[in-house]
Amino acid sequence: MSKPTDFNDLAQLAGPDAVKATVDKVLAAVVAPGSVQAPTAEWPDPILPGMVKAPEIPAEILPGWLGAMAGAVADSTQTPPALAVMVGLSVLAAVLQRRYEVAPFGDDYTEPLALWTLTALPSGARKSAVFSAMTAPLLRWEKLEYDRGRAERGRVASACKVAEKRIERLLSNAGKAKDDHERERIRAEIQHERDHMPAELRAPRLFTEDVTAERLQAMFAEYGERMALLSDEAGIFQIMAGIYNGGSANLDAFLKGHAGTPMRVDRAGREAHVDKPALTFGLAVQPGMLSEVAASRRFRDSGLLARFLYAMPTSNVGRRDVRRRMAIPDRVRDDYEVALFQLLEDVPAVIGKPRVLAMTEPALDLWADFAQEIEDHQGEGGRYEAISDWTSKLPGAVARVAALLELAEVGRHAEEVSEIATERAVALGRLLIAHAQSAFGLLGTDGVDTDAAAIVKWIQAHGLEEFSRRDCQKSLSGRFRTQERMNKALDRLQQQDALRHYTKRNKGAPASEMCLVNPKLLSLI
Amino acid sequence: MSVERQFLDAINAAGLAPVKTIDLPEGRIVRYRAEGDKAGSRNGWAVLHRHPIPAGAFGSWKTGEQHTWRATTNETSTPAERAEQQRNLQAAQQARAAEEARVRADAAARALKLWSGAKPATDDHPYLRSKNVRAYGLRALRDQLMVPARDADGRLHTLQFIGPDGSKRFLTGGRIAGCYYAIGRPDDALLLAEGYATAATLHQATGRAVAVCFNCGNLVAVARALRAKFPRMRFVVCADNDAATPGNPGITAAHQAAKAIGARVAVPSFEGVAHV
Repeated sequence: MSKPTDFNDLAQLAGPDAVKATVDKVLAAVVAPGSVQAPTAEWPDPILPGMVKAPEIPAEILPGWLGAMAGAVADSTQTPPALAVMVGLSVLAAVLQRRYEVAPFGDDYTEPLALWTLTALPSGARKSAVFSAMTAPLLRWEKLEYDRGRAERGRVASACKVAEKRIERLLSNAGKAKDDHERERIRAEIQHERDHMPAELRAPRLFTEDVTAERLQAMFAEYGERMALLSDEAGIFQIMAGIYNGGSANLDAFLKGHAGTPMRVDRAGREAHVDKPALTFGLAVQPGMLSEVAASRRFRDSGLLARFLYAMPTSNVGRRDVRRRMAIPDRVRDDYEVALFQLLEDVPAVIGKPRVLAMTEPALDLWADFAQEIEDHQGEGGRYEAISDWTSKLPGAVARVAALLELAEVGRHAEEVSEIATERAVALGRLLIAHAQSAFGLLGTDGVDTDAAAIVKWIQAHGLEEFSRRDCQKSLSGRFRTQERMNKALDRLQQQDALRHYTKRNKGAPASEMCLVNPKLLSLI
Repeated sequence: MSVERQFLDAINAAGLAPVKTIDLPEGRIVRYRAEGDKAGSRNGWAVLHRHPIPAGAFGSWKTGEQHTWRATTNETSTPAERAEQQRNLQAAQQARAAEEARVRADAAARALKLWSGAKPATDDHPYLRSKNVRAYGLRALRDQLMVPARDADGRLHTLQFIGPDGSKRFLTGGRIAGCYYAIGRPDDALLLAEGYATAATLHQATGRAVAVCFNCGNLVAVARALRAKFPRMRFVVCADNDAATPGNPGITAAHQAAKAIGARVAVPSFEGVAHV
């Protein structure tokens, strides 16, 4: 025999047992991927529409006075902290939007600080109590500003009325003028009155609860190109769905308010030229309302739904202690109000160019890593493919939140967005992904997800640990007329860690394409 | 120097020199026997365009290599000439792919015809006796053992012929990459080996299913194909320990295949074993 090289040589020299011993030793060290015997712990949590258990959003994710207030409100009302956190962020955005922007790279890519949040909680979950507590300082500030400017507004209004009356009289005199010289004099007087008529003074407004698209455009023009819509009712969705416009409302005013793109309205009877509109939403609605919202394909296709940061906390209803009464500590409430008032101290009558905050280098690194992580998972076949319209906007939203938190912590004079604020914003962004997945389950996802949900329902109804594709198609033949459609749904479930595919050899028969079910899926029933 | 001479020099330099003189008609793919290939084979291929700029492509279906060539000239080509050259090369690539598909299909048809007409091989074939292994599903044509090479879907692509003296050859033009011969039915583990005798030995010794990959260059392709087919299976690549060959190609390829699919490598150890 020439120099031995292979297992045949080994068998000839040392016998088959030597071959078996060598192979068995190696085989024992090999771990089968997705082995049937794999313990449940090796399966990641499946990500399924409507089945994602969203993690809690703790109040401590917000810094200092804001986190303290959110925690105290949640404690006092016995509501999940996520609601107070989301409303708190919207209040902060209502105060700071349009005056500041964030430029993560320090260049011309900027994100305005407008923020859209939406929390879903069932009726009776004390949403209104949370809203009242969190928005109270805004109401108070508006009232104080209203009272402070009352005398001045009265003086200006009288001056305007006087000027208008004088112009009216001059116009009637013009008709009776004897010669050109007199007419010219009257014209000059009218012009002088118009030139010196004071501009109308309005008490500043920060937020509203209900507004149409047309009125919103006007409000942008009237109140410094910014407005917030803070409401614990879902009426705004009915307006956006076109309750006052025969079913086709103008969504542009809302969408542009999120992006901060210029708005030009030139219609008979009204004009609005706004260079950088900023619109913040802080909504709390019943989960059932979200499903109704999903009925409008326009909302999803226009990117309106992708702009919201969703919180889908588990309701405390049925688990509250009615005898427990914890008032919000006065110190916490006062700190919250004082901090918001300080942020509002320099609100000018006419809003100029927003001040741009860049990110520090470590903050940028942190943010860019997060953005890349999202990007890597939102492509075809990625974990976030089904909600890629939402995840595409998430890094931008995280940058906005980081800047808001920096301003909340440091104050109006913050120069850069720090690593600490970015770290908090990224942590919040990560938590919000699961909430969005849960929300989009209610919002109605794409057709593949609907098919996937039907398969999951079938698996759970029959308690299947594994099944063949053939059985699946046979059982759901009403839904899956073509194998291609079923395969797409099964592939989606595999991407979302609900299933694993494998081929099972059958003695004397063609192989079967099998699907192994994530045991965690069955425990989700 | 003529365009043809320059082109042929490039082919020679790449180690694919034709055994006989070849004609190179304008823009048409020609097949030839390259030096070192067996008689009757036509694994070499070349295509030459003389206009607007002399350029061509050549390669070998045996090794899978492909080269492009362009005449060296002092004249700068115009954008139109470059575009035409690009079109020519694309057309040559398409022709090459079509020709390759045709050759592969011919070989597969020939393999099926030979396989269908052959008788089951017996264990007393001299090669099997010398290796002390059985004929697991093999067939015989005259004194040649036939080992079928199938893809992961079970389609027969080519045949390996093993002579009584152990000489091995494949049907000309057939596809090998990703094709294998399976011995036994896999349960929870599958072994990969290079040659039939090694695979049969492993099957006899362990009772496990074994895939014959035919050569070390095919280990990665087969491993990938089988991993796609059996995503939950445990795999062990049973390497040939070519210690005497520089670079130990057997072990190198086995490690590459194992890395590609998350498997382990088993290497035969002859330490302390008396050589006969």
